[in-house]
Amino acid sequence: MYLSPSRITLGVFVLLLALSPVAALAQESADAAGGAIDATDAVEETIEVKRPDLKEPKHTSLKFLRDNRVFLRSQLDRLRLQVTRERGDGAVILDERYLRLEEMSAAIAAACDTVRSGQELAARRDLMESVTQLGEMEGELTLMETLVAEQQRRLLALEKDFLGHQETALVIVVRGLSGKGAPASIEIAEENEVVRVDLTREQQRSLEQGGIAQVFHEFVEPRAHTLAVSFAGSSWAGAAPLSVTVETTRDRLTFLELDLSRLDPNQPTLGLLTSTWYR
Amino acid sequence: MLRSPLVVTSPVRHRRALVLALVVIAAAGPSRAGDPLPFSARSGLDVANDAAHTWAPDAHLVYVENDEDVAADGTAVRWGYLFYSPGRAKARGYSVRNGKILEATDLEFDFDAPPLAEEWIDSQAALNAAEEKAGQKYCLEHGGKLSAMLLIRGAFDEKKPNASTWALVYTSNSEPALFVVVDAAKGDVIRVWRG
Repeated sequence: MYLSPSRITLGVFVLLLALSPVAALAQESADAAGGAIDATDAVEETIEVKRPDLKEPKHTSLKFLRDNRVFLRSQLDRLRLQVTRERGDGAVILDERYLRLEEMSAAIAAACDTVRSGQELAARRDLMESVTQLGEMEGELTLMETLVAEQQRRLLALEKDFLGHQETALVIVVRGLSGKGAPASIEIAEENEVVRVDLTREQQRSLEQGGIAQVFHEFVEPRAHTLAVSFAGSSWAGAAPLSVTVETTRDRLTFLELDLSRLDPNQPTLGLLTSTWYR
Repeated sequence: MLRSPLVVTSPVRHRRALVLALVVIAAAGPSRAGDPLPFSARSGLDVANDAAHTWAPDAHLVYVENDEDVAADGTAVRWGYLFYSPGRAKARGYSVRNGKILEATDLEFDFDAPPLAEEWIDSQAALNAAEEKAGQKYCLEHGGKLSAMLLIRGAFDEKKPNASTWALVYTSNSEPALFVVVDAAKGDVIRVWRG
């Protein structure tokens, strides 16, 4: 069948006319959906103060409680709650390189400085002794620039891992038990909250061989925390809790390292080394 | 009503009490279809629990009390359950009857009671223990009755504040009330006093 160009043009025009309402409807739907998304994005919260509507219940409930609320409240006021959370997964032995991230960051920064000083030195050279030396210098600079670019890429990746959407959190790691009997469990208490981490025999052996254990990783309030750290186990019986203060920074990951290498279970008040760093 | 206040010890009064008791039973009549069915405290917990977790995901049960008279077998046609939400810092009570929430109300005062232990004996066992220890004798001697039984943690056991306890309160027109505290984990009576 042969269709003339004029017929084809007419056909396309008719088809466009027929589809235009559908297209308009689709556009409206899309606009409406877009509007809904915008409305969700632009949530405004307002605060209005009102008095509660006090409705008398149809059926009396909890009558004794209501009649004796003063007595019951006075009894409850004499209590305090102690919350103990027991971690099922126990302690986690860490790769020591994980703790060297700060050193790595410093090394990267040092490399950047080296490259920068090399560039400055090259810029200060007034006269090249030969064209060949000039070519070598250019090659060296290109290599250094490549190194800088790679280091910057690594640094960005590290920053993304540790700084992206970071909330205030505290990580406590324990080390320095090489050659000593590792405790069976470690308790970290703050006010009325206690976290107890039981160490498996395998984890104890790892610590005794110089390993490092992460015993705590929680979101915390950004403030100064005074923690009572205590150890339990055959060689740690009777050891008094140690007080450690750490300041957690808002939206940063705070690492607290407890170095027990100089700690004597018989004289626990002496010898606990701590260090703190942030990511 | 758990016990008739007409129960006495002398034979003459005993016969009179029996006649009166029969009159009361006849007047009350058999339970009709549609009457709320009595149930134990734990039997109504599931529906209250579901409601409470809809209200606040972190809600936990802190208090249970009979909302209607407790029968001799430890059941009642209505029980009240109080939940506390730390997130909302509020307490909300649910009154359950016939397997449904009859009333749900925010408590009008602060009551941040500790959560009840997961395991606790049901109302029948608590009542049996209290009756055997002191409740039955009190009712017989002073024409008393069980006024309230409530389950709470930390309020009634001085030595073990961590324990959840049932407290059964008996009252009489002629004597001070009798309190019997039952360990909700073991079912033992741990404390009895008048006040």
